[in-house]
Amino acid sequence: MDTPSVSAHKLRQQHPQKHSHYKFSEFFQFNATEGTIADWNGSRNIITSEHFIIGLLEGLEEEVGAASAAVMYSIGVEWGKQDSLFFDQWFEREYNIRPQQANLMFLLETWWWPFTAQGWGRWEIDMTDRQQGFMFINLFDSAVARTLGDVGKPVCYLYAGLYAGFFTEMVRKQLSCIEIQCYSMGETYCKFLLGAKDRIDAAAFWLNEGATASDIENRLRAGYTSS
Amino acid sequence: MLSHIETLIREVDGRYATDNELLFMQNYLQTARLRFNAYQKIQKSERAIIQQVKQKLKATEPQLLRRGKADISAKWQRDTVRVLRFCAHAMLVADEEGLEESLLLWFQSIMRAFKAQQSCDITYKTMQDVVRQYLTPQEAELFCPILARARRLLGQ
Amino acid sequence: MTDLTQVLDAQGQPLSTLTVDHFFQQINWSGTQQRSARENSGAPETPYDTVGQFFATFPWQGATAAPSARRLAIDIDEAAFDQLLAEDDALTLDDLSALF
Repeated sequence: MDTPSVSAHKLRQQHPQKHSHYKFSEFFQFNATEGTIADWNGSRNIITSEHFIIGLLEGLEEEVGAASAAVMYSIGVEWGKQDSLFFDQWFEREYNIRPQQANLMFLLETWWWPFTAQGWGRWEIDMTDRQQGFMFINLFDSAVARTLGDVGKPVCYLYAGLYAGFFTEMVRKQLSCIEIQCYSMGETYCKFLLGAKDRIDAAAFWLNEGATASDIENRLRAGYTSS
Repeated sequence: MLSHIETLIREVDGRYATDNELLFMQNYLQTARLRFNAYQKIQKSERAIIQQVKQKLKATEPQLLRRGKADISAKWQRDTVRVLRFCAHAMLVADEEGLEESLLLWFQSIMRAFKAQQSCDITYKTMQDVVRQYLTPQEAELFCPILARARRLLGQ
Repeated sequence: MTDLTQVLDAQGQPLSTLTVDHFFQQINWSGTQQRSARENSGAPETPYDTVGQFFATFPWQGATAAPSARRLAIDIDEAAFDQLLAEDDALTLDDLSALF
């Protein structure tokens, strides 16, 4: 987990233009006297165990029942929005270019790298269908799904919200995101669909009806927006 | 080597290291001279190595140095120099794992973002041939596997 | 060609098996040359200027001359990495925004 703070990272101050800084011992700065961990970009990090993730999800489910998925998604959205502002600052500081002018794929990889270093997993963006107004994100080693194991349903609502919030801010259009395939459903990796709300609502409906990720991909490519 | 030292410090924790645990140092020191020689040769020949690889690429795969109408050979050169230097350093300190963690995994995603995998594949394959002209067979034996690792990670 | 794994004992004979402490004893840690070698070479007893000279004193790797400390200037523009970020033909955030 990370929260924006003002903790300065000494290595970064010494090497502000160093881009390959994701090695564990370089990315994190352990401040022994304060008992804090800062990352390269000055975010405060907290190391948690899988028990924390389980406790968070199960505790939430106990409190709000089925609405816990929506709550996790909302938390993700807010996190993504906040993080896009934070990212705007550090990206420009590190590369001397505004995010709007940068090569998109490079920009997105750069955004996700701190998450990878923090243990949220690696990703792969599939923009093949961007002309049709949607794109896929494949996530490997989701911290949430790997913790919960095979529970037969998608569990990465926090990630879906994170992507929705981040991309909504970055492209300045209201976007939604849904996980259409999950490690916790016995798949090898998680797959998220990002797009305008009506598209995502349609996908949610199909998913609910038992459609698989490839069913959903096919229907979207064929231009369906509802059942 | 550096990764090994870190592991040693962690594992030994309050006792003395065994001969077995120190074996990596012996292995390193036996090749240290060789590594240093090779490092200096690469440093001295960097420009020539890069130019030669570029010429070979131009001759066999000219499209890799262009994107549409734009000539991207200057970009290619910066990337290639960066990787060569990191690889040389990894050879000097015998730390291939560190190379992966500090550069290759990150750079792999950047190269993918720019769809440069094919270019990387051929670049670091060619570079293994080119550096053999500047190194002794023993030195190349130490360095080429590192370039091969760079090729494997960046080329896919 | 020197066998990398071959280490010589005090008499200059190859040692096939070697303990770590034996190995470490052979390293000329302080970098001082043996008296006879120094007298023969006429080399002055000076501290090492470069890592290369230091490495050159390691006794088990043959007698390669110490590498020169001269650093070749390589004028490849590293800071220009940033140019790579804005390309004419590349997709940007605005392009992405227009698609949704």
